[in-house]
This record gives sequence, C-alpha cells and structure tokens, in this order.
Amino acid sequence: MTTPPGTPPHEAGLFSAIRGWGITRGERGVFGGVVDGVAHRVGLATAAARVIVVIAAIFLNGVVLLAYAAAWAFLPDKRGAIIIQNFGRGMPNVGALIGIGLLTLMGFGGLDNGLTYHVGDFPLSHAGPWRILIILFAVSVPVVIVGGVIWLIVALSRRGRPGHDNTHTVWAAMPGQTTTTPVSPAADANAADAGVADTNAADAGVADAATDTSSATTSASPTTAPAHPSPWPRIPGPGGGFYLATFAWGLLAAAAVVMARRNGELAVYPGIAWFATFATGLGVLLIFVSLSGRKLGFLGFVGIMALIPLTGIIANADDLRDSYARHEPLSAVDLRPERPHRPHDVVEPARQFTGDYSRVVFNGSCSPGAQVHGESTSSAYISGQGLSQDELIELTSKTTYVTVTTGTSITVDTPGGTPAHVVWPDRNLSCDFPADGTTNLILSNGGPRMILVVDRDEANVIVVTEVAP
Amino acid sequence: MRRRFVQRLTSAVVGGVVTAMGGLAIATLSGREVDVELAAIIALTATGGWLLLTALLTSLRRTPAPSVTPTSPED
Repeated sequence: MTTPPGTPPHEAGLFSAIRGWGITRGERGVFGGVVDGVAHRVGLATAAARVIVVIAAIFLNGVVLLAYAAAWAFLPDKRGAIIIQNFGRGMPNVGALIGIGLLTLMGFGGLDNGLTYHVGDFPLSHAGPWRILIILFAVSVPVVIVGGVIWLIVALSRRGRPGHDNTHTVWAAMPGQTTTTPVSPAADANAADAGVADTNAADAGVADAATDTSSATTSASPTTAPAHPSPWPRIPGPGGGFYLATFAWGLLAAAAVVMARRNGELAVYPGIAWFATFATGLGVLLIFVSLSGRKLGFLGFVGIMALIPLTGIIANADDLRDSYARHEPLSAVDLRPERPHRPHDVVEPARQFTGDYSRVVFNGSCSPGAQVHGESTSSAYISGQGLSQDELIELTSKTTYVTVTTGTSITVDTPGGTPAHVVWPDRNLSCDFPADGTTNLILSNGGPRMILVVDRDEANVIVVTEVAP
Repeated sequence: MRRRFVQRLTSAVVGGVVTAMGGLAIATLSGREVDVELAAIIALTATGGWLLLTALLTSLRRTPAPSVTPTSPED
C-alpha cells in the first residue's frame, strides 16, 4: 500500500499534538535518546545537555526521572514510532516499556528525597490522615489533570477541527505500510541548516516507515490531507457504555464503603477503601472491554495509573490500618452498643468472674456498660491466647485492646500514680482503678499471667475481649 | 473493526493485572497476611502463561500459505 506524502494517519489528538512539537528522540541516546533529541531540537550539544540533565536529576530527583520516563514514552523516534502509541496498537517495545517502568518507579521513590520537592514522610507509618490525604492528592490530582487534558485533546481532535498544523510532524507507519518521501535533498539540507531535530529526514524518510514533513516549507502541501481511507483500521475505544459502567461502579463502590463505615466495619480510611474497591472493579471492566474487541483507551490509562497508588497501598497496608486505628474516634470501634450510662449504679464485679476464675480481686469501682472515657488518640492490640509464661506489658497507647482466652490470668498494676480504666464489652462492665501504686485487678486461675502495667496518663484505657478456649 | 480473538485475550492481561492488584490491596487492607513472594510467583506465572497461551493461539490460527506447484510449458 502506498500512502500519499504528508498524509496524517488517523490517531488520537494527543499524539498528533506531540508530533507537532517537532521533537524526536535521537538515535545516539543512552536511554531512549530523549536528551539527544531534545538537545538537537533546542540546538544544544548532546554532551552539555546530558550534564544539565544529570545536575537537574541530582537536585530534583524523582521529578526529572518521571519527566524522562514520560518523554521516553510519548516522544516519537526518528521513524515516528511512539512507545505508548505502539503499545496501544498491540506492538509493544518490551525493552523500552521495562525501562520506562523502572524510571517511573525510581522517580516516585525519589520524590521524597528531593531538596525542593517534599510531599511528606514516606513510608506512611508516621503519617496522619491529613498527610495521607495530601500524598494521595499529590498522586491523584496530576493523574486527573493529565487525564483531563488527554480527554480534551482527544475530544477536540475527533470533532475534526480544521487548521491542524502538520509542520514538523513525523508520522508513524504501521508494519507493512510503505510511504513515499517528498523530501528533496535540497530541502533536507535546508532543514539541516535550520537546526531542526528531525533534519535527518533523508535518513529516516527512506526508511520503510516514515514520512518526514518537517521540510514543509518546500514540500507540496503537507497540511492538506487528501480524502482517502485511514492507513490502518480504526479500533473503537471503550465507548459510552463502558465509561458509564465505570462511573456507576465508582458510585456503587462509594455507597458500599459508606455503608461499611456506618456499620463500623472499615479498618482503613474510607477514601483508601473506595479506591481499592474501585480499582478492582475497573480491572474487571477492562477485561470486558478487551474481550469485546475494543481498545482500552482512556480507561486503560486510568487502570495503569491506578497501579501506582495500589502498589503503595499494598506495601503500606499495615501502616494504613494502624494510622486509622490511632486517629479514628472510638465511636467507630466495634464495641457493643452502649446502654445508657448510669455512673452511680455501682455493681459487684466479682460475681461476674467467679465462674471463670479461681481468684478475683477488684480494687476499684465498676459500673454496667462498655463506657470508655475520653477520646482515643492511639491504640494497641494485644492477643494473650496461648500464653505459656508470665508476660509483663507496659501500656504505651491510649487504648489497649486485649484479646484473651476466657480464664486467662490477668493483673493490672498502677505503679506510677495513674488511674486505670478497664472495660469488658462482652460482660457489659466498666471499672475504674485508683492510682495507688498497687495491683488493683487480679483475675487468676493459677496459670501464666498477663501483667498489664499502667504508668502513663495518656495510656490507661484497657478493653478486654474474652474468647472461648 | 474489532480486534481479533487472540488480541482480545492479550489485552485482557492489563485488566487482569489491575484486578489482581486491587484484590491484593483489599486483602491486605482487610488485615490478611499476604506472602509477597508467593504472590509475585503466581502473578508472573499467570501473566507469562497467559501470554504464552495467546502466542500459541496466534501461531495455531496462522494458516500456512498454500503451496503452488509450478506447471511446465508442456501442460
């Protein structure tokens, strides 16, 4: 098949716009020829450009690596081949994709180490909810903006706006497609004198897959594409149905997360839970899009971008859970629903424990109800199941959740003048023990004991859950 | 114009990876202990196997060109 000169193939407006910049990746590059190509475009020696890039990478770290990865992925080479575009067409350049992926990972990993770009403390173990939100925004907002720009460009280009400027444009060709080259040696020489990056049009143009229209000043009329069929078959994108299904899934996922939070079943922040749920459904939708024979299009872009925060979530899942447990108010903790608190309704606790323990000592006052005083600022979780020897535990979190087998010996010491507050939600019992420096609670069966030491004002609430042996 | 069957299977890998990562995120956020090495082994095996399958299907569906016997002038 022969394509008339200067014929722009039918492609997304984003790629047409990028080709319009006239920047092509060089052929003498180290990693994809990005610096080589850009240096030629701006008329700079390649070696000097590399030095500048290295210095910029030292001071800006991840930003430069991310920009380099993006340029490698989106800039065309001398033959007009764009890595990402070819990937979408089912012609992946595996080596380049791996390199781009590695650069992207290194770029994201280096974001926090930069001297001028600092979004927060990675990992998320020390991050509070606001900082996590900021980090998520720092990742998601650029993705949304880039996605919106891409969508806008694609939408505008599909409206067939007239006046598209093909100057400096290097078009790609599909395998097997042959093109003719309108570039005369003289015109090529002129372009070379102008210092344009794609001055090697003669070299690239004689190749079987390129038509360089950079020398448009001497070519016939590169901006007027004759009416003839597209050089390769057009595969439709996901279509309105799948976009609508994605939006609907987002709403359904939000409803499910809100419901889970309402029922106190969430262990992480709702936004994170929603994102994980949404991404999973999006993956399923992408499978259906693929099986229907359509291109993944923008949905595929969103799905691949979602892999980045998903990786971070998986790697920091425990920290995210801990952070939520530390900062979420106790009202969201799954305690037995509280009954009306009657502070003066003092009960005799020993009767509740004599059936399970041989020795019961309560040096404090107890009342019915699973009441927890104050707001929990931090939480710790301890399991005493399978205790084989005495274990001394000094409480460091505001609220400590202790899970033990019914009958496990427990003592609570208050040596430092700090009162202790112990709650048994399953027994509907709350007890306050005074700060008298003694052992105020003893529940013993003669076996190994869990000795809980309350020595700090900010760590004096214990919630005990007993499970069947 | 739609993609051919094998191309559809190949591109479904992207959706499969996103689904798997999402499921893994949900599992870890739910407090399940995930053996990362085992997950990586399964993911690599599944992805490689899937692509191998599609490659085999591609080669099987590619019908060989019919052989043409040259005819002599006498015929």
